[in-house]
This record gives sequence, structure tokens and C-alpha cells, in this order.
Amino acid sequence: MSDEILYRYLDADEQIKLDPEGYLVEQGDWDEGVADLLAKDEALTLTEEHWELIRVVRDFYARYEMAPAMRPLVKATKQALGEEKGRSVYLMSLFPGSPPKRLARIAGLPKPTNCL
Amino acid sequence: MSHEHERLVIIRHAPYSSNALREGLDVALVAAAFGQTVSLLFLGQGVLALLKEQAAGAPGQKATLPTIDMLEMYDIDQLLVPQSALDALNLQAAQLVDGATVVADDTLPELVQRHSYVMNF
Amino acid sequence: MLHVLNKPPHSEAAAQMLSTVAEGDGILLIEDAVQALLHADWQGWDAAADVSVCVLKEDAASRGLSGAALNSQAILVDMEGFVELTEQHTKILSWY
Repeated sequence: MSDEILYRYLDADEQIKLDPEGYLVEQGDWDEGVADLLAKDEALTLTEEHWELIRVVRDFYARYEMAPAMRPLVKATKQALGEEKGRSVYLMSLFPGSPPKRLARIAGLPKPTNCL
Repeated sequence: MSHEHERLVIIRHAPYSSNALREGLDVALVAAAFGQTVSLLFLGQGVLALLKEQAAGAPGQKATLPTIDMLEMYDIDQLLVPQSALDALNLQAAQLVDGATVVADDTLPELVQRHSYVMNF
Repeated sequence: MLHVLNKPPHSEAAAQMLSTVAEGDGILLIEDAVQALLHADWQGWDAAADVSVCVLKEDAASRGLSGAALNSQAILVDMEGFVELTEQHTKILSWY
């Protein structure tokens, strides 16, 4: 399993291990401070808007044991935060590139499967 | 309603018996993630994947029910079960997850016929 | 639709296949499925209207069923015939 391979450390104290794709090796390492570090690592600064989406994907993972691809991410966001935010453009504006991957990474989840 | 580009994934294996069930669900999820319309048909042992009382098994075993529950988030809402498959396992429709739909056996040939892509797992 | 069966004629896979065969479909029996040659009363021989049932000649021969094949209503096809069948049908479904 690739998530058992250490590639680098997220923090200077070498406490938090990342896999080759930048995801946490130990999901248990995650807390809000780690999320901030992971975001900083991607040159993002987390605002309350980012945090509500992080909670959406963490709730999704808690329920379904998988991180969502784009289609279910949009749907879950719509259900949790309403029509206005449940759109891919909104997700792209906060997590540019691939929102499902970036969100999963910052939320301390495994890489989403079924996702480009 | 046109079914021209709809996909039908047939699930025929029970949870934990092999990788077939998981592979079938993965294929369905990938197709749905790419915007395809996907329906699932559960035949034989595959029906066991829909039992709503499935709980966590031995540590490290990946459970099936969370994935079944997740299908609706991928807009996969056709989970079809022929009546005879239920009967063969002495199951009642009420024992299946809410999303499951029991269909008459004589609808199967037409169901398989009208989908452009059919895959067996 | 071409249904390709490689499990014995009274297996669960065979029953599942038969439950989905529609008018005009084709059935190709390969590997263990050629044992259907021993069962003249197998449901698959007349599964639905206008369904042709083919048997892969090589698999029947290797299992000692060439004689049974000659006495059956099966259409025998060789590997080339197998390829032709897959070209004739736009959809192929394997039952394994």
C-alpha cells in the first residue's frame, strides 16, 4: 500500500509523515493545526468557507468510508451547505485544480478513489 | 426515456467471497463519477450485498454497506433485485436497504437488452 | 447480445444467464458449458424465440464430447466462428 511509504515530513519536528502524494501516512495525525499546515503546503490559507467544506468531506468519509469524487462532493455540499455552494465552480474557487483531491488531503483523508 | 448511454452493472457475488463485488461497485462508481448513468442489477448471491443489517466484521475487513449507502451520492439509485433471487435466499424485501427495488423476473431480458453497456461481476 | 457461458449448464451462472436471454440473442457455450451437450433437455437449447446456441468445437472435442455434439441441435463453431460471432453482436456478456 502506497500510504505506508514515507516520502517526507510535513512539519519541522518530523512528527507528521506524508506519503509520496502528500497525503497523511497516519490519519490519526490529523487535527485543525495539521490541516492548516497541509493547506499552507499548497499555498492555501484556510478561511471559514474552506473549513465548512473540510467538515463536509470528513462527514462524508465518516459515513461512507471513502473520500468523495467530484460528483458526490457537489451533492454532499449541496445537501450540507445549500444550492449556492453545492456547485463545482464554488468548490474550484476555494480548492483550485482538483477540489476532491485537495480537500481529501487537507481533511486528512486517503486520496479519493474513482477520481481523476 | 432513452437508455442509449446507460450502463448496467450486474453484481452476482456475495460480500467477502471474492473481489468481484467490490470490483463491480468500483466500476459503477467510476462510471458515475464520469457522469454516466448507471443501474445495478443484483442476481443470486449478489443480493446479499443489499442486506441492511450488515455490520462491521473482523478488523481490517472493508464493509460493503457504507459503499452501498454511498451509491445514491453518485446518483446511482437503481438497485434492482429480481423476486426469484430474494426467494432463493429466503429473504424479504424489507430486509434490504431502502434504495433496493424488487422487479419481476420476466422484466430481466428487456432490462439487459435496453442498456448499451452491460458488465457482469 | 451474445451471451458467453463458461460454467456448467446447471450452474448458478447458467441460470442467471438464462433469466436474462432475450429474443434474438445468441448463446455461445465454451469450457465447462459445453457439458450442455449431455443434456438434451437443457433449458438453454430453447431459451427464447430465435436464439441460436453455439458450442465451441475445440472445447467439446477436448472434453470428449464431439460425438454428443454431432447428435445435438447445437451449432458447432471453431475459434474463427467465435470471432465472427463476436462481430455479429454489438454487445457481449460473459457469464462466468
